[in-house]
Amino acid sequence: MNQALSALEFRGLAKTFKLGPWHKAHQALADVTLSVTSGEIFGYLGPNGAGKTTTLKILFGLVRPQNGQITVLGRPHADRSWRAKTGYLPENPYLYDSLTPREYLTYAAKLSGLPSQGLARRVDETLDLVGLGEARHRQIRTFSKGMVQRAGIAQALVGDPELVILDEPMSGLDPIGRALVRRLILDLKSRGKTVFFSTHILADAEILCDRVAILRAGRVVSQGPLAEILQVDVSHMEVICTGVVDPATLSAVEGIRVASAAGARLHLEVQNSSLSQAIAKIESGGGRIVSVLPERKTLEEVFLDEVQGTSPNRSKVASWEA
Amino acid sequence: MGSLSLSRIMAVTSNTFREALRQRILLGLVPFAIVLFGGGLLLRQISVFQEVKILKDLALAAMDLFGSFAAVVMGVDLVNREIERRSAYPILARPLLRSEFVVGKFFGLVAALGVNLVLMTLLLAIALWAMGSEMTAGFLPAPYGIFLTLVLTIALALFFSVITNSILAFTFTIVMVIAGRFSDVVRNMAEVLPDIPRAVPQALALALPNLQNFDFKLRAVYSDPIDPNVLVLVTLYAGFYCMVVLALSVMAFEKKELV
Amino acid sequence: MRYVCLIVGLLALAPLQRLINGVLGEFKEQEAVLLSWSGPTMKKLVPGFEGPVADLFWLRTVQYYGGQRVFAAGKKFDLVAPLIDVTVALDPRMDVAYRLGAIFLSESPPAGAGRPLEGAKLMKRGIAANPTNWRLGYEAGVFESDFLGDYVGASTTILAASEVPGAAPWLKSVAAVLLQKGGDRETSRAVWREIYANSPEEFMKRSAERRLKNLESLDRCDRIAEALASYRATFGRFPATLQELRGQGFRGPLVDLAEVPLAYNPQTGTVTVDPSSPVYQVVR
Repeated sequence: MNQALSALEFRGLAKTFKLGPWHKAHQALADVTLSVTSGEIFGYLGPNGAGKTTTLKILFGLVRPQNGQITVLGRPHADRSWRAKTGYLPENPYLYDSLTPREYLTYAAKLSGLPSQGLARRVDETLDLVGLGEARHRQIRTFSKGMVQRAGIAQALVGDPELVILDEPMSGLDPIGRALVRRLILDLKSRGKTVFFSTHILADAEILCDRVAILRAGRVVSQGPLAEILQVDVSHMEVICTGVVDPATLSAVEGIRVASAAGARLHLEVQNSSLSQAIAKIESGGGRIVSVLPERKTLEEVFLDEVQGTSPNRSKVASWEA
Repeated sequence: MGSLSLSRIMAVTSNTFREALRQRILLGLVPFAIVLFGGGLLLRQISVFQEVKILKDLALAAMDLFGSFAAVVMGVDLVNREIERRSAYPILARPLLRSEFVVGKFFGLVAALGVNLVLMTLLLAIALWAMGSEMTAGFLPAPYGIFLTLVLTIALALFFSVITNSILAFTFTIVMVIAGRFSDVVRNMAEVLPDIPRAVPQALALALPNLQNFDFKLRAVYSDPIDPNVLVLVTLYAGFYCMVVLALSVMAFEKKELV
Repeated sequence: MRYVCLIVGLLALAPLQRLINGVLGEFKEQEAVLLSWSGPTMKKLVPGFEGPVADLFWLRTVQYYGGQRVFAAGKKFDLVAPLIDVTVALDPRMDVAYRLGAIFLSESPPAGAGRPLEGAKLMKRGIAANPTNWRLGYEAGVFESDFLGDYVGASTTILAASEVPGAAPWLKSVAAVLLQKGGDRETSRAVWREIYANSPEEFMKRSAERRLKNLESLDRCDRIAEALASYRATFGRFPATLQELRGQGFRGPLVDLAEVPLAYNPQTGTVTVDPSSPVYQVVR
């Protein structure tokens, strides 16, 4: 990968935790190798205990890896200058609840090296961006979980970072909040920023991500563009229709299978060669075509396939993850 | 590793200061004021013309006890709480060095408790004036000595906060502070336990904070003049002792994994 | 229900406590508990807080003394000494503890413990612990003269206090008066001479001069008294006037140093300085 285009690279990252003299050592990361291109939205997926948070902790120096190399924004990990250009939202963030979000963001911005001139304006803009403009002078202890999450996102963005790392950014948000965050992420991408986020909500990853990596037991088991991961099947089409009077007539046609039915809505799996026949049959049967798309697996199906059959120490692993 | 930035340290210091004040430590001034003014009235009746002396003794003891308690309780949470609650994560993800974090936390709490002490001293001055007495400059070494005691206490609490959990940090700090007040007993251990190599109690006495160095309370109450050289020496002692403890704290925190 | 619990509970507490007091009260030893440790031990236990703990013990002393004096039937004052001991061990500079403590110990029963020697010992302890406190030394001397009647001892104590830098200039005068009161006229004279020669205060010099004249006048009275005793031995009576002594060969002056005739009582044979004389001094 051309380093100039790479926002973030992990190569052979490994981490073993020693739980204490009476416990076995726990290998949280065995071999994490992945690369995030500048300007893309990258999803980092995995079950509880897979090592996602450990990876991010290693990135920000909160824990040290046994092995591996990291490059951030083209710079070696040990060169701290990339930190000023990176924003980080940890999972379930705890912010100083006696401060107002304005005070907290000002503090965070100063630590990131933002100059005093224009700092106040930048803080206010960021708070408006996440929908906390009206609450800027309220103490964070009075915030709902969703508001705290948004304040956490704000502190990640206040320094106008090139690379934004979000650990479960949708956590605790209601649908409006989640829509806001999705818009924010897309907006960041439109401004040329790189977003790396880990999530359990596969629907969000499916909507937002250009590329994903799936982590299992400390290893990246699958990585690449979403379309490849979802294994788009070009031999079959997914046809959704409504209003067909007699669905049985469709099943009788070769190459057409009724995958599921919900009320009047039918979900058909149609071979490419039978597509025009299927459409004609639906319309002649009084139905209406809703959508025609290439047949593919959902991200959830891919995810479950990858993570099934994980290690017997799964519960202990889970206890290590935040 | 990166070089220290004074502006980042100042940012951590002022944030810690603000947080400490928002934890309402200044509310402690209310019962202090009640004790001072109420005590002053009561003492007139029962103390046989000793009310001024007793009030000064009482006030200084309250400043020492309350300040030390606050220093321990707030000091052991300085780093520990941030790690347990993970509020340190987005902070340490920034260009901030861990050493800057530790040093900033230290100075922030020192400033907060210092302000508290100054206000208590002012309240005492007002109480004395109300009783027809006054606080002379010769009295000030006593609260200054208490301030130096608090500085060392905070440094120790911070160190234990880095290396262990809140409960153990609290216990170890209290033990060190109490031992520091009994440092003469430790020094004299060599006489009481002749079988132990002399170097052991000597080393122990050196390692413990000699808080008796900063006790000017009785002398201040009796308006004894205190040699400025003594104040300089004890300030230097406090400074160097804190430097050692802070260095150890930084070293421990830099090695610490935030699991 | 919760209000019932609240009210019943509150109403029950006071009578219940009275019952408990009635049962347990007779076994309570309230006073001695405070004194399980000696003064030095207490000092070791509270480093850095000797002042307020000393104040606590002092308040306790005052309360105890007052309580015994006003309320107690027995009026024992047993705990005054140990309480003061702890107080001054914690704060040796607390001169009120020595001063008033000595009085508490020395006042005769039922006003005090009636142990003036212990009081004097306490004052001496105070002086030893506060060598620069001349006022305490002066009060110790006054204590010795008032409670022990030891005028010579008192004057020695006050003379020592007068040597402390910054001591009041009148201390030596007090010591001299006490010496005279104690019958040691020679030492008293020496002290007055020293005051007359060295005092920078004019009024002190005048006072010393008057005292010296008084002492000299008293010496003259003593010599006349000897002559009167001899006259009586010879004639079986005292002379009607002092002039009659001239007939017996007495040549000494019959006036004081202010040339005022000495006062003579022919019935009792006593001769003193006339109260109207300027060199007359009251020695109380």
